[in-house]
Amino acid sequence: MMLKAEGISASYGRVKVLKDINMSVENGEIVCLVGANGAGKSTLLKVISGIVPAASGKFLFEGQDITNRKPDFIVKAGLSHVPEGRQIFADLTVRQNLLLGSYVHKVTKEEMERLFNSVFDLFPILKTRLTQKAGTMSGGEQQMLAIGRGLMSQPKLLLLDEPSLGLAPLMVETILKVIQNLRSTGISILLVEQNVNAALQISDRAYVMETGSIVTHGKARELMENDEIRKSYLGM
Amino acid sequence: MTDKDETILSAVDVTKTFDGIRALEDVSFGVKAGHIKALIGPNGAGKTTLLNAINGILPPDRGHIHFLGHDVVGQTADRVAALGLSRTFQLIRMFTINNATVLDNVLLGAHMRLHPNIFESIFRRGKVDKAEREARDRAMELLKFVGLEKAAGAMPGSLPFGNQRLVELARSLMTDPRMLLLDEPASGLNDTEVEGFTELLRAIRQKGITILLVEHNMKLVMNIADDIVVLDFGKKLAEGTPQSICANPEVIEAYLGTAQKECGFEP
Repeated sequence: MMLKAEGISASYGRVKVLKDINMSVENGEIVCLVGANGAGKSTLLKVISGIVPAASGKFLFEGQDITNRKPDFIVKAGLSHVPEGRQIFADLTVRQNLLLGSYVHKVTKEEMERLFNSVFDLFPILKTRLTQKAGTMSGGEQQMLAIGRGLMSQPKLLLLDEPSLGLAPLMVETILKVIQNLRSTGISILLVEQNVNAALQISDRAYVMETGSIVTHGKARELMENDEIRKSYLGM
Repeated sequence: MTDKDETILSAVDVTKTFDGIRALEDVSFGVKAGHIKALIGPNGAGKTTLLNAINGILPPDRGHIHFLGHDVVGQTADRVAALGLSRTFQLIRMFTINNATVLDNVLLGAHMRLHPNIFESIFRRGKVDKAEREARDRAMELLKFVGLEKAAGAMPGSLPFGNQRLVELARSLMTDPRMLLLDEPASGLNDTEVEGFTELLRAIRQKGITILLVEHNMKLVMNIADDIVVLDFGKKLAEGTPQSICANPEVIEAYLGTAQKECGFEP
């Protein structure tokens, strides 16, 4: 078991945004969270990575209790969060952005070289842009950089929040292929995606969220084939 | 009212360079009054740069842009807006200072048309109050139009992302535009929300407002656009009806990929 959430709840002020969330990600799985805007998908990712506190319940990451630990502790444990809207440092170079991702661990020069190369293997374009300011790159390149930065901390589980947001159709295909490649390197993935069709196609399992609760879950394929679920929850 | 076949916006040989990189190279196209024209192309193709050139945020190095007969190159963004060209942005910009509500955010769009002088503000209070009351009524009407009248008193940040987009649209409409430039208005919306948004754009076109739409959601674009212009590497790659664009091998190779099947036309 990679990640397990047991009875997680969270609030923004007095508004309960997550209610009794139970879910899990197994080793090597791609798991997708789907649901309308405002359902609590991004919030769940933020609570997992320690940015928003959990009011109750607990998270086990490879058996270790990580509930409400500091974000840097959670990254160090092997859980990396690629946020919605990329959130790269626009005025820093591509190289500096990537380096920032690596700082939670002490790495030797050789290891650093290997880390950079593993990111370039996935995203060759970044190698040609190392000295460019990140903010001057296109949306697709920025998304690659954001994922690359997430990988520099050598995660076992990657949380991806809307990686296809604002990307051209061909670029969406590229990013989805990259996600599948990442899984084949042994990284587990928890994915939030508004592009439900595409997300379910690459996911093993999915949880459907509505107003802060998980309303149903199952194998991605089965959810996609269930007309009632498609209509009621997936907006398809 | 503008004639249907009249060109409301025309760009001729628009060129823009950043640090020696050609972001736009001799781009020419026109938008007919009352049409929805889509502007599509890969990330980094120059779409936002072209919008910035049109509404005066970053003037082009070379070329001409005419809106309703006015040469807008070199005009400031507020002057272009005053001519009736309103713009929304890729990243939502909501004003949250002083606990600004959703209604306040829409009212900001009226600021351009409400300009009492100090004399009026002191001696003709009634006239100023009346104008403000009318603006408020109009803002409520527009919130109703986008389906958000119940959220008028809410903080914009508390609304789901999709609804914040609608507030932004209402704010743009508050300026009483002849034409809207929309930069990826459907990004982050799910399929159901996109359907609702498509209907809304149809209703806006029905009001006689012309739209230039930058968007990656092909379901939306192919459903609603009267015609499409495609940019790639800063140059115009193609221009034509949704059907012809969907069948264009160069566009498929550079941009559409398998999304071609979302076009909904038989190839």
